[in-house]
Amino acid sequence: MSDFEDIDKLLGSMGKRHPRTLLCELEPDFDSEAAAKVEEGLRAVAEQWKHVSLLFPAVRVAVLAESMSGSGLSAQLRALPTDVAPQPGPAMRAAALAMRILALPIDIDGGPILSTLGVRQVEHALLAWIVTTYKTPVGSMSRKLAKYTWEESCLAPEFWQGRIDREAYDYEQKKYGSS
Amino acid sequence: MSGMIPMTYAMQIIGQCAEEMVARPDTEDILTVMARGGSGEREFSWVSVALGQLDDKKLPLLYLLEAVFTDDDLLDSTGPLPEDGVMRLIQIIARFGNIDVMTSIRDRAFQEELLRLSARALGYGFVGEREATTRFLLTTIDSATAALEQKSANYTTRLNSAKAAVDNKHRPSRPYGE
Repeated sequence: MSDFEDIDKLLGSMGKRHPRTLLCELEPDFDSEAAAKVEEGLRAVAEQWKHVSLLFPAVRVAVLAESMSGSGLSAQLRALPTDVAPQPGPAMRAAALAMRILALPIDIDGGPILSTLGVRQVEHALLAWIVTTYKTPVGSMSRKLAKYTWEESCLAPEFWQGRIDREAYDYEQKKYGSS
Repeated sequence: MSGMIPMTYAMQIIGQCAEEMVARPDTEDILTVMARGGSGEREFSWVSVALGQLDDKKLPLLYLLEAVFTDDDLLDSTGPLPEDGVMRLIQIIARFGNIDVMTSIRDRAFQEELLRLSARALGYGFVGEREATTRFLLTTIDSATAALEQKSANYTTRLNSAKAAVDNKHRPSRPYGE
């Protein structure tokens, strides 16, 4: 059973709907033409950083974070006062979050870590990054759980050595027993 | 020809803008150059979210790129910037490591890398270069992704070495000469 049932339930309900659809669902006033352009921009960033496989998961967790985090995350994402720039709505905030995820210096498409993780594991890891970065819990993912989940996923290269050590240990246990 | 950058001219502009930048720009300077490029409300909305995510020390890079890509003559060649153009530029800048920005922006090689990466992020091509050359250069100079690709390749090698070390540890010792 997952540690994040509420999160999994919401992610599951999003199904395989396109980013533009999810953004419009998040903010009903967000027009579909704008959503299509935002999706196009997100895809360009994903291609740029070899993270095309992360496009849908990134948008799903960004939408989820925006809808589940309460006011904490929204407040942090509003950077400028309203007299300098218009206040972004939930869809734009989620898109900006997704865009940031897509540019993360983490394992690339087809790399050794991403290719071995399931979609849900990737989504948990990306959500953990949001919770850790913005210091705001999302649903059942507390900051402590997020830190653990992010490190355990080993998506960032600084954790790869730890994963190698763990895999070597597992290999030893499996092949040579506990000797 | 829309969406194409005259590379020679763009390099002149970026060099000139870099030389002219004597003080660190602030947010309002950036919004001013954005407005020059005809940014719409939606783009300002992107930026209001994104600027807070960018290290202040890197703001000069954004100002520089906005100044270049909103140059009137360049806009004649490229057409208007994509609506989320600033966000795309911010992501490029965020990926640069801990560089000394004010020194780097005066380095011609850095300027070229910055220009090429940014142009690609904005979906522009280059005038006066063969497509194959451009693609080759873009692939080669993208140091952030290249570094990850290298690390990714090393991971498998290091994992195999770790497993080989485990096997060596458990190999029965044999007397010399056997």
